[in-house]
Amino acid sequence: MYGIKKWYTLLCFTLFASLASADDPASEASPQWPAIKTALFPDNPEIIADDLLTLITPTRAADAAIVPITVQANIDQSGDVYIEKVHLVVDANPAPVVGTFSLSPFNGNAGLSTRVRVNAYSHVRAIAETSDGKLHMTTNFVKASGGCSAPAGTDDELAQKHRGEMRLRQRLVGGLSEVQLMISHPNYSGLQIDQLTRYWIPPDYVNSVQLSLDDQPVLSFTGGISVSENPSIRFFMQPGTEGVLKAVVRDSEDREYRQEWPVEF
Amino acid sequence: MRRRHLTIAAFCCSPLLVQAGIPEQLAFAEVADGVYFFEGEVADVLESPYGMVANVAFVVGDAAVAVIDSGSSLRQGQLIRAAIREVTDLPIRYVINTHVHLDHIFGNAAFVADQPAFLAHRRFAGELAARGGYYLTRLTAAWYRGTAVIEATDLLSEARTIDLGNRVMTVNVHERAHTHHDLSVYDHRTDTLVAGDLVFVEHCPSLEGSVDGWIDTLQQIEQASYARILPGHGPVQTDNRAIAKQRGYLQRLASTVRAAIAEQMDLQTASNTLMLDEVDDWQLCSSFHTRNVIQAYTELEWE
Repeated sequence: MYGIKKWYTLLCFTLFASLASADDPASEASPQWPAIKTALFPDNPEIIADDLLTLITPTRAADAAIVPITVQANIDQSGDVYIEKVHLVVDANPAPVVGTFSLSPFNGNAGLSTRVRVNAYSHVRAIAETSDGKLHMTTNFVKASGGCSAPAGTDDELAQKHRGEMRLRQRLVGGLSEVQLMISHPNYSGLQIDQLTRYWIPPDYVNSVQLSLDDQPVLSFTGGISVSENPSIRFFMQPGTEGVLKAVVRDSEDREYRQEWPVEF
Repeated sequence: MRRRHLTIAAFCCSPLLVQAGIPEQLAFAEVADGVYFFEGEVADVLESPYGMVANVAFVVGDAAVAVIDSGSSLRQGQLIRAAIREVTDLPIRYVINTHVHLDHIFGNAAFVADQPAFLAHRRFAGELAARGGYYLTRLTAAWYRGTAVIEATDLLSEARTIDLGNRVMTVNVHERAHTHHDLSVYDHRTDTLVAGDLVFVEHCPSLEGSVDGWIDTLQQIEQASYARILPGHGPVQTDNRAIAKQRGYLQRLASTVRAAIAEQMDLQTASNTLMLDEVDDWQLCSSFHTRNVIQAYTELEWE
């Protein structure tokens, strides 16, 4: 728990320390990317810029605090090479790594979507780690500003009251079951001001989500302050699976929330 | 010399301002006995040359003056004050900030020397703290020089009655509607509601508080059947037609977004596709409508 927090803090400092210029063609000319890349992948592996993933983002965000991001996976999870992890990055954010999703064969397809804060005009990246050890990146550019410091969209009073509530929804899309996990949490970024007291609100955000089906890992997420309030994660499940889906959600204040649902996909 | 000619031309032809001349006065109309109204330009505050897009009102009693909203700049505040002084020398005792948006409150600084009570909603203070500095970074043109964040002196949790001298007004404190912290002001003598941004006419409504709450508030305003309503944007209303149109938009927004959530449409698809035909019925909906869908969606997905 502490380790995750520390890691993100470290990443922030690393970025402020070195804003090197970008020679890497995959960087799409972002000054921040080389430092982010080093922090995410210290062994400096090759990152292939290709269309293994398709990233869908608005070109201009209508609301910088709630920018929907969809990652489409263009390979099947049942093939020889499948996607093990997806990293989401918003280069210009104070904490650029939105988070990392770990997937499983239960997913059928590694596509997913969530909502993020975008603090300035920025490159947004999705990087897939495939089972053959390769990294594949796709990059978009989003115009937005102020998303990390924007006041909470609901208000503080309501956000505190419903913290930790969860919902699960599902629907069929193209032969796969699409599942949405909704978590009620203000996800304070540490860059916002309390609406009543006018003091800075300390960071308080969901940093870990573990989903399992009958105790087998289905999907997990570790992340930071760039996820919008009331985190929402949409992902796929292979049809034909059933059991008890269990969610364990932890936040940066060491609170833990658990919920389970009998499911049939 | 050339500039002076342009300025005169601007004022002789239109109460609104054209880009060529720096505004030197504001056209206030006395829309009811002692109630003065400046109608802003229907435009995005950051794209309008002088940002004078919000409506402003002042009300004169036998002993004092109340100003309701103060515009987007120190300079506009000074022009409002000058317009008041053309009408009366009575003290300016109240500056009422209907909500925190920058087009409505950033003329406050022009009134500080009058030592009025600055009235706002109890949730206004924190919103101002959260946004004030950010707003100032957006107002960089020379016109905005001297513009500053001025905090409210009186934060209201419930309605307050103020008396301007033989003229009683009620400052209403609303639940979540346009924002989380809306005020409106009712003038008993002329049966006039100064609605702030609870009412948008012609200008696309902009949702930040609660879609359901806003619909309820508009229904209450319609039922009260005021002689006159001064909206936050757009012209004075003497009937409920424009409010019914706005309520219709919000009701359709709520029902369309609810249906989309029920069929599991994701937020991105919803914000790109829902109710695009409404965009032509309003000015500025091409920029505000998508955000309204996102706001309504994130509110209603939890019900």
